[in-house]
Amino acid sequence: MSEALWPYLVILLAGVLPNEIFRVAAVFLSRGIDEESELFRWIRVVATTLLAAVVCRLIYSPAAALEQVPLAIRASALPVGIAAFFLLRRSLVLGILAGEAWFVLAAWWFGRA
Amino acid sequence: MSSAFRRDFVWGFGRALALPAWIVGFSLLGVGSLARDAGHPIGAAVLSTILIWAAPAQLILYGTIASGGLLVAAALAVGLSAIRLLPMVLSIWPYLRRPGQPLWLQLLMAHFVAATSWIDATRHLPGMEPDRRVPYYLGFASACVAVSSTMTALGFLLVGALPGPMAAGLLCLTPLYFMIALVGSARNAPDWLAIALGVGLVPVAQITVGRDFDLLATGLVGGTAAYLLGRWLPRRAA
Repeated sequence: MSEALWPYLVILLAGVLPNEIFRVAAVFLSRGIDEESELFRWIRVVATTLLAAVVCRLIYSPAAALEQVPLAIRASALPVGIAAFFLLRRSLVLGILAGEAWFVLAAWWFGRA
Repeated sequence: MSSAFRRDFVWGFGRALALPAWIVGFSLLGVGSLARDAGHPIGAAVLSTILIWAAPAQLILYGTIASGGLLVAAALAVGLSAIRLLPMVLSIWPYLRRPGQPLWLQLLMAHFVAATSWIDATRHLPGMEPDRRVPYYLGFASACVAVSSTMTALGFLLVGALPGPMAAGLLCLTPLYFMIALVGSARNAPDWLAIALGVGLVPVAQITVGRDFDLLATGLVGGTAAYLLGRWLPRRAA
């Protein structure tokens, strides 16, 4: 097999296959799930919890560039963003901008200190 | 394609371009640079964004390759990270599933499910006319994939060009967006408990079950606790 095709095969076998299988499974499991049922409510709460857990993981044990900023600054960006969101007429954009501004300034200041 | 379909597709596409597509796009910038570190060509990096369409899975895959880990281990870790997609697809399915949809369309809609499209679907689909949901959702997700593919290529080409605080700031966009959107769309006690437990249990889960199973354990244990407490607390207060 050609060397140049190897990365594409890696993507398909080690990436797409183990990932997509759960989306496909959901399509077939969904037959007969009722929007008003308790099972569906439970699934919705689990999905919400999982996304909150992803957020925590991105902040708590992050990738390279973010790891160089102290945990206290990384974590503080979230309440700043949430507070700005509620204070500024529930604007998603302004909430994110406020959290980002706080984060970049604090990270920059920390880098100088 | 009917004009109503095109109108709602464009509506969703524009809604994504107004902000969410760029947020997910910026998080794929990092995937592009990681792919280059792993020694993959730019085509494979972009293809991974289109076909995997889940940044955590891509980070795991490329992170493992870059650090010289086993491909089998990478595939297992990707699978573990992808289990969360199952409840995500199921929980928006009642809004997307219409009678007579061909299987390829169902699989395409399921493929588009990732954190960004899920949170937008959760926020906006329930209040929408049923006939407009599918084209809106397809438009929204298409814009996200298009922007993210471009950003993956850009990240591949620009690797390491950004100064530290800026690079860190870009990585901070995704958790900020998800968290504010989650808080903004929380409506009842189980939602709030799910957010609190999801955030609070990850450090505990990392110590007890380790980093491979932390998300899964937090989702199942925290989610079930939030569901049960959310049912029990309002009754006690009443």
